[in-house]
Amino acid sequence: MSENSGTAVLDPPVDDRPAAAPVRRKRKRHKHNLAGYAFLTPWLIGLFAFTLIPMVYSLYLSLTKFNLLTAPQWIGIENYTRLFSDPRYLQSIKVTLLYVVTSVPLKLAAALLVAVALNRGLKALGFYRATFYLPSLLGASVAVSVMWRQIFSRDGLVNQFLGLFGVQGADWIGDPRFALWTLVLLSGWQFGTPMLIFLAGLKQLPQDLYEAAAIDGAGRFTVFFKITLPLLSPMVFFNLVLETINAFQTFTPAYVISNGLGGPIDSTLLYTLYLYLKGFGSMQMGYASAMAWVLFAVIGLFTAIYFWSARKWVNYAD
Amino acid sequence: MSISRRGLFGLAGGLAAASVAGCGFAPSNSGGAANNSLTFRWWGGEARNKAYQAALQIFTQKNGTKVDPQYSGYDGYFNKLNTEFAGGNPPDLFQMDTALVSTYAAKGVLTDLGSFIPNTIHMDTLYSAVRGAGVVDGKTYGVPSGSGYAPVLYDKTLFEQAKIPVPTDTWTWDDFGRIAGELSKAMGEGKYGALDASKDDSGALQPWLRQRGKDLYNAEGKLAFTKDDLAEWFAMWDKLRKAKAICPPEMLANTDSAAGNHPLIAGQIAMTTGWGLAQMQPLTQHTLDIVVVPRGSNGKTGQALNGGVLLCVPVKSKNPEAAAKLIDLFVSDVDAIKAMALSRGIPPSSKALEALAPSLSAADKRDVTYSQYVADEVAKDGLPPAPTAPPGYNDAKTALDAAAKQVAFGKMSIPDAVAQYFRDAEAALQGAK
Repeated sequence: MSENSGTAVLDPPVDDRPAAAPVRRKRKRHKHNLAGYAFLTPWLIGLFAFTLIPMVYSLYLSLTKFNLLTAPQWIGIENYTRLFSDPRYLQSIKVTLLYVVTSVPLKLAAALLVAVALNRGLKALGFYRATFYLPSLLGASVAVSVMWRQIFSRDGLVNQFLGLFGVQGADWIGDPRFALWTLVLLSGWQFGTPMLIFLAGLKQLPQDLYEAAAIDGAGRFTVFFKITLPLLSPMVFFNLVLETINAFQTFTPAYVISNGLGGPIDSTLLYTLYLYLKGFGSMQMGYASAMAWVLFAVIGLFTAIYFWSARKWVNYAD
Repeated sequence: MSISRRGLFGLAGGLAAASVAGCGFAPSNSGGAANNSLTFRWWGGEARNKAYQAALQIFTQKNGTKVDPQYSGYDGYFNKLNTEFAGGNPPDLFQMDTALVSTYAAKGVLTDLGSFIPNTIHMDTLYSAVRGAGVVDGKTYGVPSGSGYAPVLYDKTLFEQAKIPVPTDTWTWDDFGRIAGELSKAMGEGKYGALDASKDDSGALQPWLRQRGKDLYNAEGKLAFTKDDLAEWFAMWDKLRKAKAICPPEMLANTDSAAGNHPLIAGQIAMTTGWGLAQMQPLTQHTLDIVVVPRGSNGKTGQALNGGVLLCVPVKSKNPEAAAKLIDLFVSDVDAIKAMALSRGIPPSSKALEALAPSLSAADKRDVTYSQYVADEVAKDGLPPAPTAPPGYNDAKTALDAAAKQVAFGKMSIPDAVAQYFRDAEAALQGAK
C-alpha cells in the first residue's frame, strides 16, 4: 500500500518528460522491483507453499468427499448444502456465536479497565504490566487449559473457596449450563494483548483536553466517557476486530476442557472443534473444508460490518 | 481425542499412561526403508514402550532386520497416521485399534495378510476366539496382539468401609442396581454406588444386548438391536439415576481416561464398567478388583472377547515380508512373549500364557485367571462371537454417548434420544460404506 501511494506521488513529473525517458525509467524500476522480489523470495515461498496453495486446495476439497485415505470424489456443493441440516453443526454455530458475543466484550472491558488503572503513573508500572500480560503469553497453551480444568472441577479451587462459606459449588466443567462460561472466563482472563495496546494509546492522548476538562470541573466518569473513550476509539476498533477474529478461531481451551469432545452434551462444541472432529475424527475432510470456508466467510462478514460501522463511532485525530 | 478408549483397555497393562507426555514420534525415516529395515508405529504407555522395544531387539538379533520404533500416546495417533496415509508414506507396520480396522480396510489401505498365513504368521497358536478380531469380509487385515474381556471394576476398600459384600460372579442387573443403591446410601452425600454406564457401548450395552440374543452390530454392519431395546436400556439407567444409585451426569466429564480425576480414583463412585485392573490399580491406594459384567436373567454373561490391539500392514508398506515376520514374533516367539509379559494385555494364545505362567505377579495372575474364567463362561453362553465393528463404528459410538447424555441431563425424553441415536448411528454406518 505504501509502495503504491509512494509512486502515485512520484509519478506526475515523469509524464512531462520526452517519450523515451519513461520507458528507460520503467525498465529500471522493473529491475528494482526484481531485486525487491528476490529479497522477498523466502517469504513468498512461505506464502505460496503454506498459505495460498493449501487454501486453494482446501477450497477444492470442500467440493469433494474426501476421507483422507482414498482419492477425493467430486460432489459439487453438497457439503455446503448438508451443513445446514446437520443439528450438531447448528449447535456449534450457536455455541460459537454465544462465545464470541460474550468473551470479546468481557476481554476488552477487562483490558480497558486495567489499562486505565495502570495509566496513573504507578511506580512499578513495568512489573504490573508484565504480570497482567503473563496469562496472555501462556494464552493458547494446553497447560493453562489443563489448569483451568482443575480450578473449575468438582473438587477444584473455586469450589473449595465457595466451601469456606458453606456453599456447595456446581460441577462447573461437567454441567452443560456452566461449561461454556468457564471458557468465556478463561478468555477474559487473557486480556494482556489488548491491554498493552490500550495502554500505549492512553499514553499518547493529548493532555490539554484533560486540563480543559479539569478547569470545567468535569467528573471522573464524564472525563472517561467524553474524552478518553472517544479518543481511544481507534484502539477499541483495532482490538475489537482482532479479538473477534481470535474468538471465532478458539480451539485449544475447548479441546482440552472437554477432553476433545465439545461436551457436556455439546455445550462447548466451538466451531473449530467440530471442524476438527469432523475432519480428523470422522475422516470427512471435504465436509470439514466446507466448514472452514463458511467460517472464513463469516469472519469476513463480521470484519466488513465492523469497518462499515467504524465510520460512525471511530474518531481519528487527523 | 474421542476415537475409542475401548481400544485402550482390553486389560492391557502399561496402557494406563497412554497419554504419557513427551514421547513424540521418533524421527521418521520410513522413506528409504531397505529390505533389512522396518518402521513400526504404536501407541502406548511407558510399560508397553519398554516391552515392545525389548521384543524388537530380539527380532533384530534373530532376523538381522533393523526396526525403527515410532511411538506416542493415543491422543493424536490416528490423526498423524491419517495424514501419512494421505501423503502416501505410512509406516511399514503399525498398531491398530480393533474397533477401527474395518474402517481402514474398507478404504483399501491395509494389506490382506492371507498370503503370509500360515507360512510366516502362525495364527494357529492364537485362541480361536480372537483369530477373527482383524478379519473383515473374510480377509485378515490385522493380527491381535492382546486379548481381554471388559469387566466391572470396583473399589474393594469402599465396599469394606460400607460393610457391603462385594458382587459375585453370578450377579444380575437387578443385583447391580440394588448394590449400587445400597452403596450410595452408605457412602453418603456426593458419592454414588456406580458410574452411569448408559453411554458405554462395548463395556455395558453390548453384553446386555447379547444376553438377550442381540448385539450392537450384525455382520452386514447394521445396527442389530431395536429402538425398543435402547429405550428399555435408557429407562433402566434413568430409574437408577433418579434413585441416586448411579452418579449424576456432571460426573461423567472425567471418565474417558485412566487418570487421577476419574471418579473411581477420586473415590466418588465404587463401581465402573469399561476399565481393567492394570490401568487403574496403579493410580490409587485403595484395593481394586474386577468382576464379570452383570448377567442377564437367563444367566448368560453376553461377554464378547476383545481383540486388544491389532498389528496391521499398510498396502504401501515398503517391507511387508519383514512386517509379517515381526507380527509372527508377537504371536509365537517365546522369548519375545516373555519379554513383553502382560504389557500388551493378556497374550492371545495358550502357548504364550504357558510360557509366561511361572513369572507372573499376583495382580497379573488375577487378570489372567479372570480372563480364563470369563472365557469358560462365554463358552457356556453358546452365543456366536461378536462381529467386527463396522466402518463408521466410531461415529455410531459417539452418537450413543450423545443420546445417553441428553437423557441423563434431562434435555431429551427417552423416545427423542432413541430417535436421535438411530438417525445419527444409521447415517454414520451408512455413510462410511
